[in-house]
Amino acid sequence: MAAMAKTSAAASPDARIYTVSEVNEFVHDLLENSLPTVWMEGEISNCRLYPSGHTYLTLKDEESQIRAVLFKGAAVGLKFRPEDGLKVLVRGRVSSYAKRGDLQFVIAAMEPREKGALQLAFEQLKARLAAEGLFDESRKKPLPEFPLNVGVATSGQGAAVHDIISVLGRRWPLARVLVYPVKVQGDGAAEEIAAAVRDFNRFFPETEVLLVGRGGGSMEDLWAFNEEIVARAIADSEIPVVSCVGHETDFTIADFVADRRAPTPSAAAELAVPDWRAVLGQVESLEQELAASLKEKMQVLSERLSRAAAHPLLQSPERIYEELARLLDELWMRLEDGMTQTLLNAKRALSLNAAKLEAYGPLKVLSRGYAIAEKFPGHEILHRAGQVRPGDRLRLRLAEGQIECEVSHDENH
Amino acid sequence: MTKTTKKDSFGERLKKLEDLVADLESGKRGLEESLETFEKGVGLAKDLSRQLEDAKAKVEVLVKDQGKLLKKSWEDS
Repeated sequence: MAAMAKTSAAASPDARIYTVSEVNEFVHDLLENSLPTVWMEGEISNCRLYPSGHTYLTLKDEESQIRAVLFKGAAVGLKFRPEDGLKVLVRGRVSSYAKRGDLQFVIAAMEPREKGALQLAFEQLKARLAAEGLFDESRKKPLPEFPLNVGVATSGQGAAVHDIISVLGRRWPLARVLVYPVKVQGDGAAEEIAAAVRDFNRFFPETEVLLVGRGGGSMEDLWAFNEEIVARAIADSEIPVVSCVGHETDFTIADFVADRRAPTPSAAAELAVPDWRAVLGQVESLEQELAASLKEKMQVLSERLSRAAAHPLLQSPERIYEELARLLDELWMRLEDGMTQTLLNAKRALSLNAAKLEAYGPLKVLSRGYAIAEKFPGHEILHRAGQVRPGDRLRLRLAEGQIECEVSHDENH
Repeated sequence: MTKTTKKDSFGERLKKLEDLVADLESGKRGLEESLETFEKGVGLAKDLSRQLEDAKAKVEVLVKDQGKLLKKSWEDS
């Protein structure tokens, strides 16, 4: 090193000449051996994930920047994704990329500066899945009203599974419950939960509703339900999924993807099945409605019957005769009216004729002082004196009345 | 597999009962048909009630056995 520092632009003949590789290796070794592992703060830019699984990026502050690499092995433990603009704290060492002579910071660990890593990971996945439409209301499947087969994917131990079983059994004894015990926290938990959801769909498709969740815990404890693999399994499920992770206030990615989210495992069980007493009440009231409807039907029919029976004709048969009698009366009256008229006409005609008769008849002559003489007895009307002899009896008809008298003298003789 | 392949599920039969009630309520049927509907409905209602009252939840748990999933009674596990 001291030799190098003394080297001038014009190399002296005895000076050692290095190759590029040698210098780069020299620098590399120097950096690797002399600088300790450090913590460094910076903002990510030019971040690129390569197919190899390594991520290359630049870390910078206001004045300066340094190339950095996050090898695949170190990236595995990372919950969130490094992305441009993210302020991070990295642990690592300064090294160089000998081939190019570039300075390079090798990141062993990374955490976000402004919020927790889990919180950031949660937000990132949430944003990504939301953009894919996985949380869309239109994707949500309705829950069955009266499920007979209920699946449960949760820990085989702990309060959650017992709460679920007891609520299901109490509310809806018609249910057949199938419990799929899974690891709900720690390594491999997300994989087991996702597998359970897939297995229900594949091997127990008669399952009508599936409860997925666990009891309360820290964000780390609940983390499996924030993993993408679980979210995908729930999104792909043909069976409607009710999520129930942790307590009231805990929201996980699984909750957003599920068809329904329940605040707790017990609440999920209540949401998944109806209360049998309420259903029994429904059946009973339907039965009552049947009876009421039939009763009403009978009432309508009986009203129709009694209305028909109440008709005067049906109620007292003698009315038929009364009716007929009235009809006859009427006919009779009309007949009488007709007859009266005929009579009146006849009377009028008669008096007319009578007047004529009066004008031309003998009575009119008599009224002028004439008399009709008849031989008596008998009615031989006298025209000549010779028709009678003294002593014959005569009747004289005058205009008013008549006189009987005796012939005393005969002038013809 | 248990009796999951029952012809009509509880929900379907309850729907049928609701339909019978609606049919009878419409008043369109004659007396004869109304009586028939009534009897059918009451029979169905009794069945449903009995099913609700007599049911006892069955709980099973899946156990992995050489890579296969087996159902076992929850109480036994």
